[in-house]
Amino acid sequence: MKEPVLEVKNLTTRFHLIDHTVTAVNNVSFTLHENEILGIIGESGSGKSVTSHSILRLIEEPGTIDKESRILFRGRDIMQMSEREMREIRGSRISMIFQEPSASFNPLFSIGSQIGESLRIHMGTDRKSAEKEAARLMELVHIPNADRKASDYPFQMSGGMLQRSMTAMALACTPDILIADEPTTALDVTTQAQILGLIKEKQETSGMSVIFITHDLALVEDFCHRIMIMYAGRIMEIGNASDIIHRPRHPYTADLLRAILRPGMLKGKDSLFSIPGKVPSPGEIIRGCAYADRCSRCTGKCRNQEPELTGNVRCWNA
Amino acid sequence: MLKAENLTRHYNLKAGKFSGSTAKVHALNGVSFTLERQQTLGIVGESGCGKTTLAKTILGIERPDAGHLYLDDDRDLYTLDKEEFRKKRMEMQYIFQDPYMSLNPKMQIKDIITEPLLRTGRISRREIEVNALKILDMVGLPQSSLHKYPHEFSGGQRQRICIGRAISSQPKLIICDEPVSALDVSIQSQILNLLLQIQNELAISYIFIAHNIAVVLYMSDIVSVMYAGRIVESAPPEELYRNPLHPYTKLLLSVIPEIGKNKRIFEKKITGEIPDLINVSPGCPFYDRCPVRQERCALELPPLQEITPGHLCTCWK
Repeated sequence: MKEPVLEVKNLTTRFHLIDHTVTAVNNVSFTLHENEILGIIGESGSGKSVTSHSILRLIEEPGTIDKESRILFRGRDIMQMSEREMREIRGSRISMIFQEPSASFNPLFSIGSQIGESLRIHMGTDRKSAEKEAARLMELVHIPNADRKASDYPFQMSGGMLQRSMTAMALACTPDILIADEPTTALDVTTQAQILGLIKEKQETSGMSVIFITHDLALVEDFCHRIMIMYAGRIMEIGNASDIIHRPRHPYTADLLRAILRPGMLKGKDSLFSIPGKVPSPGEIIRGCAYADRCSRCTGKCRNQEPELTGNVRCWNA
Repeated sequence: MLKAENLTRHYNLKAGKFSGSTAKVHALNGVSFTLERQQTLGIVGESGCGKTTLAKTILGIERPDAGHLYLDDDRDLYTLDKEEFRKKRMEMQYIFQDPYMSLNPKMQIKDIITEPLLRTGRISRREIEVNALKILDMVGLPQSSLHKYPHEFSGGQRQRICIGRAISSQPKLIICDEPVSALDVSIQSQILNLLLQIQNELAISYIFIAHNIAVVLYMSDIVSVMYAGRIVESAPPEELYRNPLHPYTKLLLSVIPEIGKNKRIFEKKITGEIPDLINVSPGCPFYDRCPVRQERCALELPPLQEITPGHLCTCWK
């Protein structure tokens, strides 16, 4: 087994609202190994994005991370670091790609100078060579005429180009960990394939590790090494990607897999399975298993007592 | 029932303060189709391909620069006067992508879902509640929703409200523009099943627009693939899936994730950029990205031809 780069232990992140508290991430523990791609899969409100933001300590008021939580980056606890140490890590050792590329660039600066910024800050590169390097990075992410495009402003680029540029920015300092938070959700399928290709290419050549967050289970099976299924802030199942896809143990995973439309299915011939009910709303008090209301294998025990994550699955009946 | 001929929409770009350039965005270029009662026409394509412009043009929100549209009879909708057009327009409804932005936050559910019906003049204000209850039942929402407001509902429930509003006036046609792409995976199939069920009950026709080819194949009786404002291929879903002819359709099918198939979509090499819709080249719009392009493709636009019965394609190969 390869060395762990990141160990998350008992991460709990809460948001304190006026009249109640929402536990967005509930006692989540997992390990990310060297050169591994870990997929985090979940629907909206499952806590997948809050988990990734917690790793970089990007949680702001009224959110807090519980004191018992440990986030060990190469053995050092991120929770104990000063804000200054954090700044050195963010964007340099651990970097992030966000979902909405057009909202993540400053409209007033050229793409090249924004990509170069992290080189200037973290590597001390001077302005001229940083912009040159930025153009080189843009070429690496297959942007045509990168030299010229580097002086373009965000509004001049298409969504796909911007997401490629953001990938270039995230990869500028060759990070140890790349967190990609739904990087392709807003993109067309052809652009999606290109962005996934870029991330995979970089992971294979530079040895970085990747946390890949998505709601699309169909995307991860051959892209990720391991996957983690989240629901209502909890890990429901974690394990080897192809095992989970081919032999899901948690009923939620199995239901999700059945509910995905496969290309070639036809309305008259194939019926489409749909999971009844809806995702629990944030702040809803859950007594037993979070999935009990929608689960076909639910028993009395499931409603009263929450199962632990044992043997990589959180279910009384697995 | 619905017939469109050569729909074309070119947007004028505003001339600059200094240069008097009058560029045009060629959003929709000669789109034709026919749609029968209780059938679904699927439109698939990527952002900027003209899907939404097509929807707006059919509804008359956008007036086309050229083309004709017939609903039920041989009168071109675009030649009708305002009052006649408004009447015809009531036969058509629209379901939008984002159920968070398309419901008035200040209106109660009962008023939202009966508004189109009230506008037809078929019911009076006093009959709102009775009709609203019927509609709620059809779209699978509890009766207690009647006096609630949109913010009290989840994304999937809101899309049910939108569907309820669309069916309330018993239209002949509903245009569904990416109706599930903003929803969670576990909710998407609920909404798709509801749309199919309602189509069977009310014999409505759909124009179903989406970028996800798997969803479009599932929902439709005929699928048209759009690229750069044109239909590049059109066929029944099974035929299109088994025997795609246009290189763009093949590309779309090759990059759509498919569970359990190890498609390794991240290894697909995709080159070229999407075409410029302002400076339109005379050739095939897919030329720059096409793996099988020939010299002729850069110079001449291939026509939409029937290759086998019911299967149309525009490609020189």
